[in-house]
Amino acid sequence: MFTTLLILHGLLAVALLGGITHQTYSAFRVPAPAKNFVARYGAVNGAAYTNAMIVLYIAAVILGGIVYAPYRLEIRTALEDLNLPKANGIFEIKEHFIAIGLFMLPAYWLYWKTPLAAEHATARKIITAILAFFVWYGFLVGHILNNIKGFGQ
Amino acid sequence: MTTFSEAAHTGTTHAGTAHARYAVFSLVATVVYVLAYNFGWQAFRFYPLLNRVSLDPLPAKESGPAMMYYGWMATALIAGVVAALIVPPKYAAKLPSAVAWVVPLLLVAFTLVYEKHWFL
Repeated sequence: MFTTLLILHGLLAVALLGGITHQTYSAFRVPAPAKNFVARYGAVNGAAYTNAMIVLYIAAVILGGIVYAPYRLEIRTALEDLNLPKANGIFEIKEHFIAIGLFMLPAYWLYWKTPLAAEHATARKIITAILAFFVWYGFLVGHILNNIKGFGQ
Repeated sequence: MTTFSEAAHTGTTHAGTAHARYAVFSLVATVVYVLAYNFGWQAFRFYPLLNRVSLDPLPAKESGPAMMYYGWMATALIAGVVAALIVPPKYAAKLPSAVAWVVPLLLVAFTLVYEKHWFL
């Protein structure tokens, strides 16, 4: 069951990763006619992503929270037995980043609330970039740790 | 640095003072989360081996490892909600928007320093 939940957690993370990266790119993009693929990638309505990103983030945190308990018993113990403190270290950082990101969501929602305030453009850009960094970090660390030792291995 | 009261005054946002509480929640909850894991302010402990929540530490031999993570998050959530409710909206609206990203960046830096012992 935990393997299934972990896969679902990973799939949510993929959707979140794609969406938040898109939104971040669009937030930093200088408005101009979208002539090529890269420009079109950023020429989206960033505000339209906000609620979906919040729902995906919370859903990914809930699933991650469920699989965290068996991770603590099975995987972390194994990593300690294998003398891999760096692997445990990158996970500890992941849990803190994801929690900080979770609590940033109300501010993120506030600054993306339409109509967008030009005065808050910097806050909007950087908050979204920080969340994108957390999501990328969490995704990559989760992937690395699952490669080292997944559930049931 | 622009505050919500300034933005609302100039008519460029409808977020205004009413929603400024969200920024207060984020500010307080993120800071309290970091304080919670730094000082051990978990609201409770979770023992995955027993599948049990406990307010007090249980003997490690019988109960296995304790997880503080959920307890730290609960502490931060409570602090954030309380702060958002008690800070008057007119003061919440004066919070500069830069606080919403400068503080998280500082917390990221603190977290990296705090966890560096794993890599030494």
